[in-house]
Amino acid sequence: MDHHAGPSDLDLIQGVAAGSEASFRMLFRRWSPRLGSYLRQATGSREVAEDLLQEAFLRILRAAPGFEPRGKVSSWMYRICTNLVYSYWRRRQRSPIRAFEPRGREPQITVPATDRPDGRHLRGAFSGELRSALEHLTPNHRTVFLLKVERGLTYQEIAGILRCPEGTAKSRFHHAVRQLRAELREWADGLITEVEARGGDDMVTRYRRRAQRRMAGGA
Amino acid sequence: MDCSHWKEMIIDRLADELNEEDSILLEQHLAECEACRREEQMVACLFESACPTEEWHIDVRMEDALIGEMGRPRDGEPSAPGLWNALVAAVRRPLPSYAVMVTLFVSSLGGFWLGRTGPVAADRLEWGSSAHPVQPASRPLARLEGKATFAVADTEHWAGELGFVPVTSDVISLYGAIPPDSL
Repeated sequence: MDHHAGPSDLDLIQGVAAGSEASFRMLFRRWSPRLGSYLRQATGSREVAEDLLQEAFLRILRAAPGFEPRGKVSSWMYRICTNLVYSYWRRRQRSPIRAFEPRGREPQITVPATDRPDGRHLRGAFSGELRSALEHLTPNHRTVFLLKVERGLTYQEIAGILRCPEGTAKSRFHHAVRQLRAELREWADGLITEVEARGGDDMVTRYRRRAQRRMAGGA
Repeated sequence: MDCSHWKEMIIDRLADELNEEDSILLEQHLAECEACRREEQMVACLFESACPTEEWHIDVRMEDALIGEMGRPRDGEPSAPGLWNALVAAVRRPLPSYAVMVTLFVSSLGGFWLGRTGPVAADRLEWGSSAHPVQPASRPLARLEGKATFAVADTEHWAGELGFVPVTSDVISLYGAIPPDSL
C-alpha cells in the first residue's frame, strides 16, 4: 500500500514524531481521503466520519513518537480508525437514538427503467439496503467486509490491521459475503435483471472498473 | 451439482485473491454453469454497491486545526514532567535501570543502618583512630561567641543527657560545619 512518490509513510511518521509540520501535512493529505472514506462507509455518516477522522489523526499525532516500525504504517493507521469505529458502534448500540437509521425499502424499484436510464436509483436503493444488512453483521465481519471491498486491502493486510491470522480474515470475509448475499438476494436479482435488460456492462465488469479506479485514485 | 467450492472461488476472484491457476479453472466452470454465472453477478453487485460513490476531499481546516495541536500537551497532562511522570517513566525503564535503582536503594538502607549504629559514647571515642582521625581542637567551647555558643552548648547538654557524642567544637570542626580556624 505504500507506493507513493516522495517520502515513505515511515519517513513521514518519523518526521511527525520529530515535530515536523511539513511531514504531518503530507501524511494528512496522503491518507485522509482513504481513512475518511473508510470511516464514512463504516459509520454511514459523513459528519461522524469527519469527527472520527480528526480524532484518528490526533491519535496518530500523539502516538507517532512511540511508533515501532515492525508493521506497516498504513495498517497502524487503519487499526486506529477501526478501533474508533468499534467504539462508535458500541456507543450507538447503547444510545436510544441511533445516529443512522437504515433506510426502508424505497419505492424507486418500481419506476420504469426508461425514466432513470443510468440505474442510479436502483444502486442508491440497494446501497441503503446493503447498509442495513451490514448492521446485522458482527463488528468483526463488518470490518473485514469494508476493509476488503471498500478499501481493496488484501487478506494479509487486513490480518495485520486486526491482528488475527490471515485465514481468520479470509473466513470472516466469506462469512460476511454469504450472509449479505442471503439477505440481499431479492434486491440484487432486481438490480442485475435491470442492468441486463439495459444491455450495458454486466455487474462483474462494472465492479472491476470501479475497483481499478479506486486503486488508481487511492480514494 | 454442488457448486459451493466454486462459489467460494467466485468470492476470492472478485476480491482479487485467487491465483492464476484457480482462476482459469473457475473460468472454465463458469462457461458451463448458469447458476454460478448468476452467483458471480450477485456477488459483484454486492461489492460494487459497497464501493464509495463520492470522493473524500481533503479538509484544510481540519489539517490546520491538527497542526495547532502539535506540541500541545493533552488535557490534564502537565506541561513539564512532574514527580509522578518521572516515577512512571522510571517504572517503564528496562532492567538495567532497575538494577541501578535497587543498588541505590540497598546503599541508602545500609547508610541508614550505619547512621543508627554509628554514634558512640564520648568516653569510647579514640581521637586519631580511623573513626575520628582529627584531633580535638585545643580551644574551649567558651571561645565561641553569641548565639552559636548557646546553640552548641544547648545541643551539648541534650546530647550528653541522651548518651550520645557531645556536640562540641571538636565535633563541629570534625564534620566541617564550622571551619576550625573560626573557632
